[in-house]
Amino acid sequence: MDWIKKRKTTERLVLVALFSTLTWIGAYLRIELIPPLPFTLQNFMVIVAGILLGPRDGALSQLLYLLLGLVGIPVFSQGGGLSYLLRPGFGFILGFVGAAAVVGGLSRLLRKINFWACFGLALTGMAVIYLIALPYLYLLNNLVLAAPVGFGHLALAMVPFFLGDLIKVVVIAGLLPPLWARLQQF
Amino acid sequence: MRSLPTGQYIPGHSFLHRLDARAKILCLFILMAAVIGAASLWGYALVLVAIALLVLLSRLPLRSAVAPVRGVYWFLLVIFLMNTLFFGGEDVLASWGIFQIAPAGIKQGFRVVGNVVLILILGNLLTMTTLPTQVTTALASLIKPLKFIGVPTEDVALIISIALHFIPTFMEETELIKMAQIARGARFESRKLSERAASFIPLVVPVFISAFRRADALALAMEARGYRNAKNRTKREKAPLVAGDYCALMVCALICLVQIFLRP
Repeated sequence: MDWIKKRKTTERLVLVALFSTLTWIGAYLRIELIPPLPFTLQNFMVIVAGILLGPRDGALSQLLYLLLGLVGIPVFSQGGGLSYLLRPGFGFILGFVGAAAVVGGLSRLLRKINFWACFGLALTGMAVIYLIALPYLYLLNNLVLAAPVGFGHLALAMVPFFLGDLIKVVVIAGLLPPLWARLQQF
Repeated sequence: MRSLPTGQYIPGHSFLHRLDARAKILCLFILMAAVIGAASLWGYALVLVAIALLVLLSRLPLRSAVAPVRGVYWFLLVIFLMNTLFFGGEDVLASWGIFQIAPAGIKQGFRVVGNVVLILILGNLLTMTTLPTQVTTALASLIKPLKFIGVPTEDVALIISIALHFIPTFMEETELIKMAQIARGARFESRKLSERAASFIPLVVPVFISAFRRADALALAMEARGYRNAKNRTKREKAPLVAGDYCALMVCALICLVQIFLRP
């Protein structure tokens, strides 16, 4: 698991920049997995960033992705710009930062990368994203928009999305080991 | 090669375009505070006039200046209704179940919608008159004080500029890989779920491999050219703030101050 530790500082800087960009590329790698649901690889990139770069650099790469989007570069799935702060979906992007950090920390404890290990990591990452996105949505509704919506109601409304994301977790877990094998040559 | 994404930038030579990006970002924050702090009718009149003047100064077409608002009509309507219907207050005009319409609620509704619209327009003015590269360079220099609490600000600035150069390159590369795999017979529209999911592998692996090759080459090139650490780097172009930038900052600060006095 010490893939990043072999790297020199310059390489690490470049890799952080690389993953800020890959998170954006992930939104373009899209397949209609179950027809109405478009499946993008954004969450996958977040989790790989955590595993490869570790908690600190992984979170930094996602933070910079967020920053690039907020200053107006169209890296988010629906463009970019400061107004994105008011969108309900922004919490998920904020969640990427936390997810990369948590997954990065957890992956340090793993010995080898196999399906079930990746499944655990991806599931944790997805849970962290929701754990950050939900309170953000709640705060956005209650503080900024002054529209009182119960936390329980919001959480309930999220359940179908979360179930859809569970399928993604399985796909991510399936994708990680072959990728990991190929990356060892770098 | 594709050029850097310009985002929402609209080229121009107006006063706002020429203003230093650092000053613009600071002004944006000060004016946002002024909008959020507005509590009286006069206070709103003040920020409204200020923002209208800014839009005029930016010489942007009015259509694009209010573009971010046009996309969120429904959102604004929902906020307005939520506030009006749930806020309650005295002198209830009409009530139905848990809904109550009162003057205080209507006022609150207008206030929240007004705040959102004004802030959207302000944020938009920044990104429409400033190139993303200018914004990120300015941000990198504005976060310099964070150095003292241990944030590697120079590294962050460097990472941002590398990421900006990666974006167009990777976009092109990804498109190319997608096409190449389709040409080789990759089936992204298979009927079986497991096959569709597996069709990601021939997409993901090459994207990663090519990205990592580029990253490796870049790191090697940087070190070959003597890059050590970002700490003692100097900039090729130094652009100090000029009188106009200071004036803009002072005017914004003044608006914010007056706003405090206008609070009831």
